[in-house]
Amino acid sequence: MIKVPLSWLKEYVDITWTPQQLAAGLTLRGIEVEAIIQVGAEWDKVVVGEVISVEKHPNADKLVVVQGTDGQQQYQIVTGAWNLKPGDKFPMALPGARLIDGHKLMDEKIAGKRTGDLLSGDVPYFTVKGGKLRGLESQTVAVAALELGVSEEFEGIVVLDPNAPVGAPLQQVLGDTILDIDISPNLGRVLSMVGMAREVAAMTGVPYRLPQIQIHEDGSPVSEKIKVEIEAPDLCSRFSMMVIEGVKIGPSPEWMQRRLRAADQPVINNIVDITNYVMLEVGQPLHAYDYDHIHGREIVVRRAQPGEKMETIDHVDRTLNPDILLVADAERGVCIAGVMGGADSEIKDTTVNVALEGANWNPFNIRATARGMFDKVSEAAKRFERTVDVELTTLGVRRAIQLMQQYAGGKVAKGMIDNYPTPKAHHVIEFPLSEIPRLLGIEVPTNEVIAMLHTLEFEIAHVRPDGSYQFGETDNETIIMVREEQGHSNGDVIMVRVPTYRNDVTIPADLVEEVARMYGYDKIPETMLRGALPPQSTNYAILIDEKVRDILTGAGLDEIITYPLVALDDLKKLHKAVSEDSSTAPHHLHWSDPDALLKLANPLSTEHEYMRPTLLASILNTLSENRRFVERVAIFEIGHVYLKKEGQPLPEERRTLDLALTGPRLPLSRYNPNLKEAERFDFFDIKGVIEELLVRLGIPASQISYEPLPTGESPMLHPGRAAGVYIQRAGQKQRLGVLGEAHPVVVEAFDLPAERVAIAEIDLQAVPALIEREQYQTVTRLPVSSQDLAVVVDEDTPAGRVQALIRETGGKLLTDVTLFDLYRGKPIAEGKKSLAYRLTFQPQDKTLTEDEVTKLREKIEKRLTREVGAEFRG
Amino acid sequence: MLKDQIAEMERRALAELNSTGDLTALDEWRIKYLGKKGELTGFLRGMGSLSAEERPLVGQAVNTAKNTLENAVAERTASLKNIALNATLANDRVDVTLPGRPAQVGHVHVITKVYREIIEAFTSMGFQVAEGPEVELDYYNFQQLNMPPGHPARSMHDTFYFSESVLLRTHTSPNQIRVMEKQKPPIRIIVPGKCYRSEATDATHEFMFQQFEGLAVDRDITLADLRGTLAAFARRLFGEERKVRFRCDYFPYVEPGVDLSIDCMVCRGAGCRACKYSGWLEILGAGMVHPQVLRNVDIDPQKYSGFAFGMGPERIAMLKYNIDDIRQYYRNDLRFLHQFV
Repeated sequence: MIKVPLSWLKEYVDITWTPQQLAAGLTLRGIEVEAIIQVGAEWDKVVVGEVISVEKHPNADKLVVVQGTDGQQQYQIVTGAWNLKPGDKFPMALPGARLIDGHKLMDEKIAGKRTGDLLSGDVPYFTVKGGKLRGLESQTVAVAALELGVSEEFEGIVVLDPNAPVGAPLQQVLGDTILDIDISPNLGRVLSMVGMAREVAAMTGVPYRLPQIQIHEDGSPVSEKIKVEIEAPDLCSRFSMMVIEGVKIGPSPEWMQRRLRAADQPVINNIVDITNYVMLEVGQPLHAYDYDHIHGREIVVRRAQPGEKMETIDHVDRTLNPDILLVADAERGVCIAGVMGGADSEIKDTTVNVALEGANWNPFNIRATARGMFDKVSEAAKRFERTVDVELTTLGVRRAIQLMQQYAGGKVAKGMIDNYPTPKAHHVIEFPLSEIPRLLGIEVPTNEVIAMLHTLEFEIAHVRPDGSYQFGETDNETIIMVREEQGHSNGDVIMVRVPTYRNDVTIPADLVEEVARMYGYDKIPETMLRGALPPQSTNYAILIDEKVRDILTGAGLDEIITYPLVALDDLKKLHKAVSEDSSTAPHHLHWSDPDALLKLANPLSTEHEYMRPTLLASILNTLSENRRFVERVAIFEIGHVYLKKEGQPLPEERRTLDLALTGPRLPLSRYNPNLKEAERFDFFDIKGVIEELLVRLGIPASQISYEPLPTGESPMLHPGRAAGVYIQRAGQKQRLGVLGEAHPVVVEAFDLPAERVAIAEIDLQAVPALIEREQYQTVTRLPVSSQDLAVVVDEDTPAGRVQALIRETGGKLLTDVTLFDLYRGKPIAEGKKSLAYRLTFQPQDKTLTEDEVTKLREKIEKRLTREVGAEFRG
Repeated sequence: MLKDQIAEMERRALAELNSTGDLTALDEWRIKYLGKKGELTGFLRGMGSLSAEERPLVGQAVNTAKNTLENAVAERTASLKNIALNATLANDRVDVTLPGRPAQVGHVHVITKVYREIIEAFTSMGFQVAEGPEVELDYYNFQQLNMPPGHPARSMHDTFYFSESVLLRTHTSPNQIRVMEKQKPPIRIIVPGKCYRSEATDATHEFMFQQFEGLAVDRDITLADLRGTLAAFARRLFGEERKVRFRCDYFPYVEPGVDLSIDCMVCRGAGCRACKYSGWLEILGAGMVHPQVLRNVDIDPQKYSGFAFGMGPERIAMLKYNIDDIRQYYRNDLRFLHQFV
C-alpha cells in the first residue's frame, strides 16, 4: 500500500535501527510491514568505477573512449555517453553483468511499440561482454540509469558520489532498502515519508525533521491571478492555491525519478512528478492546473450539475451528477475534486503557467466518487478517503512550489490563496487515567503515560484549582484533575489535546491504545476471565448437527461442505424431468424459478449467483465431481437453505440435511472382488440410513412413516422409487423430507454415470421440536417366544400396512416384528406376494403359554384377512 | 504269584500305552486292559480260586494297578488331545498381513474437525455457542459495528449485496450486536458460521469461508484477559509450548485492536517461508469492544468492558495440517477429505 525507501525516509529521521528491527517494531505498533525489499540486489557484477581518462574515438565523432578502473584492473570502454570526466565515479559493469537493454527499449520507443513509462511491464535484458566498436576494443560498459532500472535516463552515465569507494558493489552506493507497508483505514497519517518518520521517531526515540522551504515570491500578488470560491464547504474544508509562471516542462531530476519509482509512482514530467513527490513526502495530495486553461481566472468548488459532462485526463467523457464535487472555472469543471483532473487543464509539454491546488476534501464523498468511477483507487483518493490533516494544505503547496521553482524555473506569484471557511479546532479528550488498567489490565505510572503521550505529540493541559484548563506555556505545573465520577474509582483525569493529523484519536479508548502501543503489546500479561459465568444452556441445533455427523459417519458417509451460492442452471437440472406443459404446480418447483429465489446484485459469476433453496444440486455436483475419481460415494451435508419471506427483509434460513449414495455398497476388497457386479446403493440403503438416523435423533419410531409422494411433487426423484418422510404427532402430520432415487434424467443432467443415485433431503430445522424424551421399558428375564408368519397379499398392498396391522393387533406382548423375507413366484399366485415376518412376544410378568401365543397369532391372522384379504402359508 | 502276574501286566500295559499314537489306539488299549472283559477284570474273575488270605491282597493289587492305569490313561488322553489340537491349529493359520474386512466409517469434514476443537476449547472456558443469519442487514454487518456508509474500513470488506440494505455477511461480527441486543452482561459467546467476500479466489482467498466470533462482556474485562483467553486457546490447539504474540491492528468495532500470532511451528520462530520469515503466524484478529458498539446496544461502556475476536477455521486448519491451498476445503474431493480422520 505504501513503499518507503529508507534512503528517502532518512532525510526526515535518523535511522538507528536495522531494517528488520524497524519492520518488526512498526508491525507490532499496527503498521504492518509486509516485506523488506532490497533494491539493487540484482546488480551483480556492477561496481563503482573511476574514470582515468576520456578521449575522442579516432574513427567516430559521437563516441568516446573511457579508461576506467575498479581499483584492480583497467578497462577500456567505448561509449556514446559524453558526460564522464577524469576522476568521476560511475557504475561500471564487469563482463558477465546482466543489465536492462536500453538500446532496445529506445528502439522500441522510437518505433512506437512502447509508450508511457519505459520501465513498466516486461523489459528486455542483455549480458555484458567485450567487443569492438568502430575498430576499438570495448572491454565492458559504463552503465546508464535506464540500464539499472532506476530511471529513464539513458543519454548519460550516472555519476556517483565522489566519496563512493572504487571497486565496491554498486548496491552499496546506489542500492536501497524499501519497506512495503500495508496501511489499514485508520492510518492515513503514515501515508507519507514525514508521517512514517514521525512514527519511527516516536518508536526509536529520536527527533524527526520537516522539509525546509524557501521560495522566492518574485511575481505579482496571487490575488490578482486567481480567485477561489467554495460553494460546498461541507465537502471542501480548505482550498489553498499558489501560481507559478514561466515554467519549463521537462523531465524531473534523476534523484526524484528514482524515488518515485522506488515508491511505485509513474514518472511523467517535472511539474506532475513534483506534485506526486510532495504527496508522498508530506502526505498532501496536490493538483497542478495549466493556469492558461482556467477560464475566467476563477475557481469555484461546487457540486456538479445533473448530467454535466467533463473529459478527464484518462480521456474518458464522464457524465456527472450532484453527488460529485467539482473544481470548476468560470465555465466548466476542470477537476473531479480529489479524484481525477480534467483533460483540458492538465499539464502539457506546452504549459507555461501553473496553478497549484492543495485542498482538503470530505473523505466520504471522495470514497463514494472514486469507487463509483474507478476500479483502482488513485493515490490521492486513497489518502483523502482516510482523511488528510487539514493543516497540511499550505505546507504541501509551498513545498511543491519550491521544488517547481527549483527544477522548472519560473516566477512565483506573491502569497497564497488559502480559503479555509471554518478552521478546525483541536480535539480535546478528557482522559480518566483509570481507563488504562480497566481496559488493558496493566498499571502504567502516570509520569510514563504523560511521557508516552508527549512523544506522540499529544499535549496535556495544565489545570487550575477551579477546574479550568489551558494548553501551552503556563506557570501552573498541575496537570491532573480529580473528578469523582461514577465508574472511575480513581478520579485522576488529564485533558489531552490531539494533534491535527491524528483524526483516528477521538475517545479515551483511543488514547488507551496509544499507551498500549508505546508500552508494547508484547508486554501485555496473560490473565484469565474472573467474573461469574453467564447462565449455561444447550444449543439444540448444534447438538443435533453433531449427532447427525456422528450417526452418519458411523453409517459410512463422508461429510462435505459446499457453497450456498449456486447457479440457476444447476437448480434447473433438478427439474429436467418436468415436462414443459405440466399444468400442475407441484411443490419444489419454485427451486428453478428465479423470481422465487434470492439473487445477488453483484455476483462474481453466474456459477455462484443464487442462494440455494435446496442442497440437492450441490450434493449432486459433488457426487459427480468425485465419481470421476472414485467408484463409491456416500456423502452428506448440513447447511442452510434460503427461502424468501414475503414482507421481510431477510429470508428464512432453514437448517437442512442432504444425503447421497451411489456406486457399489461396499468398497473393493477381497470380500467384494468384482465392483462392476457388486450390489449398488439404492432406495433401501438411503431409507435404512434415514430410518436409523431419525430414531437415533430421538423421534419416536411410532410417529415416523414413509409414504409414496403425490404425483409430480418431487420431480427430481424417480417416480416409482421415492418417498416422503412424515411425522404424525398430536393429530398433525408433517413432512420432514423426501428420499428416493434421483430421476434418470436428473442423473444424466448432473453428468453422473447411468446408475442408481440415492438421495434424501431432510428439514433439520424441524427436528428439535420433534424429539421426545427416551422412556425406560422394563427388561424382564422371562423367556421370549417367537413365531414366523408368512402373509400372502395382493402385490399392491403396501408392506407397511401389513406390518402396522400386525403391530396394532399384537399389542403390548408383541415386542418386535421383523420382515425377513419377501417372495414372489410359485407356489404363490400371480399378482400376489408373500411377506414373512418373525414375531417376538415378550411377556412382562409371567411366562406365556403355548395357548396364549396361538390365540394372539390367530387374532392377527383374522385381522389381516379381514383388512387386506391376507392368506397364510405353512 | 498272581501279584507278579499283575505287576507284569501293569508294566506291559504302561509300555503299550506309551506307544499309542492316537485316540482310537487309546480306546483299544482301554478295552484291552480296563474294559469289562479286559485283563484287569480277568484277574478279579480268577479270584474265586484263591484262598481267603490271598483274596484281599490280590484285590488290593488289582485296585492299585487299576488306579495306576486309569491315571496313566487320563494323562495320555490329555497329552494326545493336546497333540491333536496343536496339529489342527498348526493347519489353521492366516496371513496376518492380509487386510481386514473393511468397516464402513465415514469422515467429518476437516473444517468440522477444527470447528469441534475450537468449540470445545471455548465452551470449556464458559463460552456458549450461538448462531446468526448469513443473509444479513447492512445495519448489523456494518452500521452497528462503527462502519457507517462510506467508512473506509468497508473497503476491506468486498461485499455481496442483494439490495442496498441486505447483504451476505462479511464476518460473524454482526452477531456481537444480535447477541447483545438480547442478552446483558455477563456475556460469553462464540458464534460459528459461513461468511462471504466478493473477492477473486486463489490459494489463500475464498469467496466463502467460515469464521468464529467470540465475545465476552462483563465488568473489568481487560486486554490482558483477552490475551490470556486466546493464549489458552492457541496452546490447546497448537501445543502447550506455543508462544503467542499480540500486535496492534485495526478493526473499527474494537479499540484497542490486536491480532494474535503464534510462533511458527515450522521454524520455531527462526523465520521460514511458512511465516514469511517473520517467525510468527497470524491466527486471528481481536480487541476490546469499542465503547460506541456497547452504547449501540444500550450497554454502559463506563460500567462494562469486553473483548471480541474473530478467527477463520480454514486458516487454522491450514496451519495445523500444513494445507497450502484454501480452495481444497470446499472442492470436497474425497481424496482430500479422507486424509483427516
